[in-house]
Amino acid sequence: MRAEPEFDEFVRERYPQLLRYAVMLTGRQWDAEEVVQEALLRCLKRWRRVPAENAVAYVRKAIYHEFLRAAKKATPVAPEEIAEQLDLTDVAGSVASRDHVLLVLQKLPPRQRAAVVARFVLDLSEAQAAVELGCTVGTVKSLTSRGVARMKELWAADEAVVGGWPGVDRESGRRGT
Amino acid sequence: MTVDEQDPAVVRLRRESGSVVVAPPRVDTVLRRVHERRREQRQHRIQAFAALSVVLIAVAGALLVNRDWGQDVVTPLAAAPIAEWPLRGSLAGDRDLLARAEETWRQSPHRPSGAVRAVFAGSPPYSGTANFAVVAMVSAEGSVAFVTTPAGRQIDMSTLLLRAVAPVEAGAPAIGFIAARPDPRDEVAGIAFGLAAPTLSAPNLVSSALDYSLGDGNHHVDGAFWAQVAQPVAAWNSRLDLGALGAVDPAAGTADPVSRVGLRRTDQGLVADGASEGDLIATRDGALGVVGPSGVLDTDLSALGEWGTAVVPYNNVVGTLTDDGEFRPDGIVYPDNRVVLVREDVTVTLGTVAPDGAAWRLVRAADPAAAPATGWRVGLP
Repeated sequence: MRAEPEFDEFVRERYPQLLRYAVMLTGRQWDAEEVVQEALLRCLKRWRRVPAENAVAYVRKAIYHEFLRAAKKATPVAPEEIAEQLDLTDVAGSVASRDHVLLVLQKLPPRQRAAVVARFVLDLSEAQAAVELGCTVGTVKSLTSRGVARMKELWAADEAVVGGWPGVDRESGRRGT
Repeated sequence: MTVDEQDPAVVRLRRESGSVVVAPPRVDTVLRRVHERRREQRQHRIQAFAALSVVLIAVAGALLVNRDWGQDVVTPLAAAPIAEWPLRGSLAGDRDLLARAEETWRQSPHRPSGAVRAVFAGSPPYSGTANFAVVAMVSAEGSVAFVTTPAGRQIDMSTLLLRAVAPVEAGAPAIGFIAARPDPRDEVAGIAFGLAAPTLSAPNLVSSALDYSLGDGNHHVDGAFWAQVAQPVAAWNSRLDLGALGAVDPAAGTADPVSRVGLRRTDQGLVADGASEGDLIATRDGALGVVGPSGVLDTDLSALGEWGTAVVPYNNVVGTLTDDGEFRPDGIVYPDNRVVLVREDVTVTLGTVAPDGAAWRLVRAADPAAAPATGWRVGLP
């Protein structure tokens, strides 16, 4: 049995990480804050039944479901709103192209976006992603495959403009120095 | 198909996702909101259960006592007197906040002379643009005041601002305010708040300067709503609508250029007590006239046209008002287009246009011949 003080402790420790996950899904910090707050509220009601070792995954799953709910009525995210959330010094080239990953992710359908984020931002295995997204491993594979293909399409024009992706060897796909 | 981990798109995705910077709000604020909303949900469940129990008992009683099901019984609704309103809201237990709010009112030029009692203290259930804590207080002499925190993304409980003060009727079904001119510490253009009498649903904010209710999308909880407003919505062109129970005028912001005036009819015409020459007098429905040198309202359209610019907000077509009731637009207008009077940051509804042969007639929204006992005085330099 777990009590509310433990919930507070969990939120204090994990909130930045959870908010960042929601930002990757929604593309907009305000929306992300709403989504996380709703998810935390739902989790608080059942906190006593949430296993401590799986609390992060449990809350992320709640965030994912809130995100899907919110995505039905969400307005498109403007490039300026994305730019506000980027560390411009780190990725000047990508930002200049205005096709930063955060903007491209917003062009994917919500479930594809969530699958891509789960696999390649959270670094979950296909099996773990399937559990968090409430679908089969096959669905995760399909969603990520289609999501990544779509991102490539969206980036293709960008590649032509900036002459390749900064820091990435186009043959091997590995980052350069 | 499994995606190759070394796929350039995956590599780029991983690299650029690392550049996403998130500035989390204070976790304490987040936790406070989550716990507040949890408490409210619990209270609502208890209230819903209690209400259901009352209804079931009442229905059972009615069935036992009165078996004549053929007759409809209509129970008239009535609001509780404001003196009996209990203190409501998610911050009702914050004694420090209540004390500071009262002190803020007492230190202002609009200070009450007698005892003061808070009837609401709370913040919206969801963070958003209309994000401010509010304390509503009534005084023994019959006025209501609204003290709030600045409106913005985060609620700063350390700063309290007196937003509005107005007389209130004892049986008012709702109270509220619209502060159209923001405080420099606000992050939004204007704010509104409304609170219905206990057991009533939150009022809808309706403006005669708009074609739609502003109620949708606002935060509603415990009979209260919070809203962000922007021009042309203001206290002098809006009402807090309670359906069958009627509507009440919201209080205007302390920084807004308006005040309430009494209207009376004399042999010379309509007079607004306390108004000065050049003031525009309006009701929430629309403009009545401009105070002339003798204190009597000049209700002719030309006088209104001299006070401000007549505009069709639908397409921003400006027009000229004539004393024979015409609106002569400098562009294309359509039947039933709304015409408003604009001066500086003040917008007052005038009416709508109706075709009259080759001309456009202005159908006034507020009839000076049927003016109510009180109105708004708009005093601009």
